[in-house]
Amino acid sequence: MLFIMPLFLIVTMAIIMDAPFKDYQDVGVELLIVNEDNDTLGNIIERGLKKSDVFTVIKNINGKELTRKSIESLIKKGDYMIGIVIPKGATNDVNEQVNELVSSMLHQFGMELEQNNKPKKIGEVKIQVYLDPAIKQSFANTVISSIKSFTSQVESKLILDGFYVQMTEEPTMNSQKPQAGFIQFEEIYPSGAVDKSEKIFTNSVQHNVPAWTVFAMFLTVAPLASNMIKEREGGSMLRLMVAPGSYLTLLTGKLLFYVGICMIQFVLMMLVGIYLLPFVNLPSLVIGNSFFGILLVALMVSFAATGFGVLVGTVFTSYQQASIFGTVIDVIMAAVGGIMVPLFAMPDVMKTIGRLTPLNWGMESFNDLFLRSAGITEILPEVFQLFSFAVATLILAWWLNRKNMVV
Amino acid sequence: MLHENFYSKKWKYVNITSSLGSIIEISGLVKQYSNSESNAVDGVNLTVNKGSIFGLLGPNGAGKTTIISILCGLVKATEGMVVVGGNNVDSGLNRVKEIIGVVPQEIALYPTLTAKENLEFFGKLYDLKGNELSDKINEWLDKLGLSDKANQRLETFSGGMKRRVNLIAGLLHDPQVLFLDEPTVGIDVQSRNVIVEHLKEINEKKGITIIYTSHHMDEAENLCTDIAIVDHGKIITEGTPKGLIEAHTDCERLEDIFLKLTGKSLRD
Repeated sequence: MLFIMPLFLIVTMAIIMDAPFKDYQDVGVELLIVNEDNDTLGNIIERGLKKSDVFTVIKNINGKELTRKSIESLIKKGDYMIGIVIPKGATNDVNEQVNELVSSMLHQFGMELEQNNKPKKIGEVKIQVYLDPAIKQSFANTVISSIKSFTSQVESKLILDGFYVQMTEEPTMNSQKPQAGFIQFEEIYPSGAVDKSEKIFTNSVQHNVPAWTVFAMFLTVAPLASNMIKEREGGSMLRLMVAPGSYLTLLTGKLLFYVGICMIQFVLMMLVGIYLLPFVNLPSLVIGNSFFGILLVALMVSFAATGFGVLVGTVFTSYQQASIFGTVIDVIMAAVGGIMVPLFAMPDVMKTIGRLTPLNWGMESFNDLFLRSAGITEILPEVFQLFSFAVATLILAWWLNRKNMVV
Repeated sequence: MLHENFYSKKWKYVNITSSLGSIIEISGLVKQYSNSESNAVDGVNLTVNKGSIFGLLGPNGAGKTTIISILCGLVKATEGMVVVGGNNVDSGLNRVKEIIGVVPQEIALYPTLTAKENLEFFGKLYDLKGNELSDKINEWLDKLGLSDKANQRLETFSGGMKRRVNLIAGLLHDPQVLFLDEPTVGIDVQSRNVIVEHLKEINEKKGITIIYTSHHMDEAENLCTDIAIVDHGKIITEGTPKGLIEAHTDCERLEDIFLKLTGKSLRD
């Protein structure tokens, strides 16, 4: 265990921590796109984004073409972090705006406008950028500015084309560079930011407090497992087993005790996030409004951690082994599960593995509640995963105990 | 004679009428562990009479601990039947657990708790509470010379003191049958003497049946009313200490019989 677990740790950390050492360009951000325009502008943007190294553009999921609604839903659930919708008629609107700009510039140069080229009120072209509040603000800004810089190139090209069309043989290349800005970006948070006035993205506190709370709750695996093994080695487990009552009763007692410990841990860490961190110039933790949801997730994380601890305590025969395994596996699951590095910054394989870890389910549930304004219904899938994990580990521990028979 | 309903699944939980005077009946007991080709217990038949002090003796690995573990319900038998106090260990384990006390070879206590806290914790597992529990703890601590140490953490105790607390933890609920797995191993003569004297006392005064394993042949000869010598999972002889010595005319002591039957070669 002393040799195997550190090897696992090094390999996992090397893969996961690779992303923070790369630029976002190298990571290949998954970007959902819906091109409702299906015309010049939309197609140029779509093609350009696809060619770009910054993004991995996703237009279909499971063979189904994305829609504005599905983008909203996927980002609301936290499955993807960013998506854009190029609205219907965007090309037409941009062309009209280009024409207006060109006409107004020609007018400045003393050229007469035809009646139908006189400036008129034209609607803005708004590309909607859907963002998950759990995304880091700096990352979101980087992504948006990448898209903006790309669309401004498209704008410039369209403007030049407009001049070319209107002036035919008159070269316009040396004229005043037209000001881009027809295309506006509207940032949309499908889940609804908790504090709309401040456009809440995740921040150090919003990420670290729930993430490391889940990690700390899972740290009880090591002491619980070690304690079980010590009881077994010392003989007190034997005395417990010969006392009236079933093994299940015994397990329930242990579970309740350690679930209680985890819950106390949880409450203390939340209080630190809400009340203590602002004293060191950090933002206060925003926990949303679903207190029942928070309680439910905290209980399920505690239950999952305790169940896993019982399993580790049953499988291993020495408390040194259990202690090393319990601690290192927690660190590995934290790394893979998005506690240390957000999942979106990881390679695809690690993302898939990360989504299978109970730490990720716990953290995502808290992100849903704290940042995505989720209610009980939205967190039920993760709650069910945590509950199933706990039950599965306990059943396995019970079966192994029964198989080994001697306590 | 076992009641015929014992064999009926329908009457699994019925209290079984044991043969007159016996508290433990074992028949055709076999235990094979999955990691071993040979049987740890190989066709043992045994009857222990109520109120006796029964010594289960044998070299290391002979099968003594496995037999006791099966009797306590900690290990499931591969074959055979075990009845303790009229209850089938398979189907009536909870009732068996209520009437037995176990003093394992290890100090099966929590080292960071005091002697009193340990005894309170284990006493409560048998539904003892309040004054009854407290009185019993004080009485036993006093009897075994530990009153002044009651509130000290167990980790500060000597080996002999720990063994005495270990014994009390198995006795607090006044069991009908007390299993002792080498209760006097590794302790000084004084502690050993106190333990042996009190075992005799509880056997005589409270009628508790004691099943006892030990490597101390002289202690077993002095303490036990009945003895069985086990080797390679089988009972190779049984009887009273006196009867066994009389039957082996070339042996003067129980230890001589033991060596004669089990051999002098090392076992582990």
